[in-house]
Amino acid sequence: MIITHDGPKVIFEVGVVDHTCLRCGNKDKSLFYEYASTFDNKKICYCMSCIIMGRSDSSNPIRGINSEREKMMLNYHLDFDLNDIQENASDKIVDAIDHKHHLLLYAVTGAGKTEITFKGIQYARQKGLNVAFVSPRIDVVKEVYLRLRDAFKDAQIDLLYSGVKNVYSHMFTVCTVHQLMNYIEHYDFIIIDEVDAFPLPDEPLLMSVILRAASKNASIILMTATPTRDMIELVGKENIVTISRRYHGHDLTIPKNIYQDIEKYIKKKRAPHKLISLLDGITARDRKALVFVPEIKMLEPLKSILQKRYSRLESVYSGDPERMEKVQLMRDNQVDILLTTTILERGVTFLNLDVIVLSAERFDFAQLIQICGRVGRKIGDPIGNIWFLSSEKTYGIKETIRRIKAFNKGQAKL
Amino acid sequence: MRCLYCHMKMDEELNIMTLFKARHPLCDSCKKALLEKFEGPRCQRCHQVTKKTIAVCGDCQTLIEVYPAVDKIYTFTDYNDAVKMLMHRYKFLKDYAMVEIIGFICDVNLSSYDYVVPIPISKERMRERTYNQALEMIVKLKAKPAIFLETKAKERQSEQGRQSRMARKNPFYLSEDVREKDFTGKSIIIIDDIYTTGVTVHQAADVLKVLNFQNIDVLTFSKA
Repeated sequence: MIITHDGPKVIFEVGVVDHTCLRCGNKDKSLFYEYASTFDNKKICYCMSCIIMGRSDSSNPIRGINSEREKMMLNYHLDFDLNDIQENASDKIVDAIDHKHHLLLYAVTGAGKTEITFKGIQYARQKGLNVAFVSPRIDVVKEVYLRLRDAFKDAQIDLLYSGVKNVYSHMFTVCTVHQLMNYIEHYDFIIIDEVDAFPLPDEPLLMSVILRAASKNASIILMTATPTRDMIELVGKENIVTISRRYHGHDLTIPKNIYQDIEKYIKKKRAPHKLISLLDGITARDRKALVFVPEIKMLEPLKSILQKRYSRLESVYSGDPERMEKVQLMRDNQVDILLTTTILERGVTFLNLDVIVLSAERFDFAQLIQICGRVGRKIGDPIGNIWFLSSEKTYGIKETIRRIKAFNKGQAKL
Repeated sequence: MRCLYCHMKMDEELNIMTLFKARHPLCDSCKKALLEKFEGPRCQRCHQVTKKTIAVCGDCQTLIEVYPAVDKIYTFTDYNDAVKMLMHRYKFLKDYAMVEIIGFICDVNLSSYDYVVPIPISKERMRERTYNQALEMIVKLKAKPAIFLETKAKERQSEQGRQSRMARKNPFYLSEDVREKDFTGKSIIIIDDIYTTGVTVHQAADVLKVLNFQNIDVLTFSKA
């Protein structure tokens, strides 16, 4: 079923019962709002957690329409041939659809995960299964949509994320995980990209949203470079496909850890000399740098210190209205150094890029793996450099280096 | 306690100062975003941004010519992206909690006015929205709404351009209970959510003026 505000069918008599939202599953009392409605002449309690999708409340029904399924022959086009490893993973996905089980695609960053799913998507649509490609991150959703649209030229693909609703048939959808709240047992093949990305791990509700949107026999494909125990449990140990090599065949770059207490320098408004010598080297070699900081409030002071020395420098964070423009400036070679929060830890690719992580001790393992994954993504520049500047060598730092070395040896341990 | 705008948890320090204060519906960063002002000089009457500071802008002059009844105009926020979203949630998503934020930001005492009048909405709109956004604002501002005006207008103001708004015939009329009355010497203030072209509140004032109020002021939460 699909929840729509004007649908003919009543799915739930009311949307909220005893501080439980039947649409999004919210049970947190502090995320409900209650007021006395003069119009209805009674108290109304509504869910604030999913208000952005239209109000679910204690007074009005949740309406919708029935799911439909239709076979569709879709062709896709790829600019390059999949290598044997990718081809094998593609077949495993088709196999999972056939045998109606879940699959974990455990792949290094830059393995070409998206393309690996194309054969499965084609197969599922040919069998009349409803397909959803979802991610927790809007940036990833937009990027994946463009890639799917380019590959599946004649397909009608629904695109849904906050504020954008481009719907044809609900049969082939690219959307954020949040949007799945409007679907009940509807999708038969669900691909979750960047499954470890914020906010999925912090919001257990979202996982139940995915499971409710999935039909009884659905196969769910989880794609990640950093699987967790929960993910392994969901798919079962026998259903894990590993790709420890990037699509271009080169090793992953091994980060170098350097001792420097950046925050001490920022406090004193002094330029951290080790950072300066790294940036000097990068700009001298005509390369670009992404410099990661652990929190937004470090951006401004750091920017004002560094701007004196580097004029082609910008900073971005999640709420920055000019975020897209600044990323584009970096692509267009107008900016050499981009200071950023974890917002750019995934989904971006730049040529000739080096990465520096400041206060690396404050990032966790999954974040560091993603950040390292920004480097060497292009065939023309497959290696690059990564430096961690840290005041302490944490588990996250050690595990990141250990895991990357293991990947390069072809060992992907769980 | 959560911020009603972004729903994030707020750590509130509980001490002797905060204990007896009214609860705070907004976190600091949302408050800052909602209160962000457009830059530039303004019209001293309607507060819209103008080329240079001016007592009465061109838009106001036109309005005064056609509907001369409005005295002072008060407004609390500029119609920035955060306010735009707040209005969308309040009026179209039925996120009623937004009125707490509006009440918190419109820090005024309306008790000096004899009457506080909401811009009315039609029965149809009421069925859809289940509340009158202006009337609920008045209740939040601890005043008693005076139902002096009614309307049958169905079209959405927000979907119309300036031209058609100006040309629109006055959609408001007096409620039956006040039609024969005389309010000489009394003061009144009209409340609405947004001041866009100003036509709505000026038309409302134009209908009210036959009741002989001493002055008719206007308060809106936001100025587009």
